[in-house]
Amino acid sequence: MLTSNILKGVKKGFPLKINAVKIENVSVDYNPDFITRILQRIEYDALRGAVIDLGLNESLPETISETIQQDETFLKTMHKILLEYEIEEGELICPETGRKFPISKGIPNMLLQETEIS
Amino acid sequence: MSSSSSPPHQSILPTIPKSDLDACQLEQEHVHKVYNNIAHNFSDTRHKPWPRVVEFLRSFPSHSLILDVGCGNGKYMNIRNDLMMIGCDRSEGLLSICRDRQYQVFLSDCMNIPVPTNMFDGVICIAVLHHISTENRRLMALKEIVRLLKPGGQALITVWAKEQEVENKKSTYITNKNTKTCPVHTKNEQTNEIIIHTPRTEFQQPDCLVPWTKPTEKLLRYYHVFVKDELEHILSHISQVKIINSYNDDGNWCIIFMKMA
Repeated sequence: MLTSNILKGVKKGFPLKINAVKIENVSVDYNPDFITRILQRIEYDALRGAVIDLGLNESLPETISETIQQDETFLKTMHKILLEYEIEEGELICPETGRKFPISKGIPNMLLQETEIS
Repeated sequence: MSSSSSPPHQSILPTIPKSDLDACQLEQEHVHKVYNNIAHNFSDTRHKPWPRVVEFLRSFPSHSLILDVGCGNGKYMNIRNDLMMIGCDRSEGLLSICRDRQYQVFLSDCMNIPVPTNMFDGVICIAVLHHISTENRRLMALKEIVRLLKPGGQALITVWAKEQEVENKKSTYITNKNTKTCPVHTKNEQTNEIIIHTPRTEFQQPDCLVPWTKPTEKLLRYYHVFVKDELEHILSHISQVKIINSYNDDGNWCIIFMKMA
């Protein structure tokens, strides 16, 4: 999920929407320090939106306070969302134009057509 | 266009691109298609990380967010386990090798990289820019790299050098003799054809096609090899750039720059 989140902040400040047809679960070693750091680099609202879009069975608070960022349960949930859910097949969708960027075999295809490049 | 005096077996070579469309087509034919064709063999020959790239990656604080532009088979994605590394490449074949290795990657052109401005602590772009066939497109790629760096962030760019012998020292590329040779084509001034380079020899022209031999076919990869200070020259067109270091590394020109606020 990490790449999709980094990409989501792309178009004119609005995050891309995300759909998934196939999601895989992988196992990744939990490192709370790493997760705390990543949290500072991502758009939490966009990530929360993605979790909702995807219908993942994870509950995330609407806002994150200083205290919650140290909460073990919260960090473990973030670890799972960021590193253990892999979108194998799906798409990222521009909320302005509806343009779909396919995700295939875990790789988002962000190539633009000639006509889309200003 | 062929005259009656040209040898019957001479194939028609691509020409130096004059437009963006020409450049796209050249790169499609002689970079992207080729890498997808040779992905696994290519990956097998690209496993040893270059020490100075490792040194650059080691200079970042723990948990830095780094983008590898043109990550290929993911050679540098795992150098440290305490960096947040993301990669992008133009080759689906090479990216799928990255996925097998569980790296976070996406398919993208380096002239339009879909990540937010001011996002990354660091960028590496290793042996990528020399596959871009016009100066304007090379500039676009560098502008993108500058854009996505945080202020204070640093990038390392390496490209193949036209000068394979620098200060009387020959690069590994021309020192290790290759017994296979290819027919030498001299540049046809009238048609502006891109010549085929003879591997393991000094470059005759900055733009050339370098053979990759498979059992069943010979493929040609397009390269624009850089001369000394050429990278500095392109970067001088971009404000917000401060050159930190610039050096030659065994047949490659390398530059480290910082994005200023």
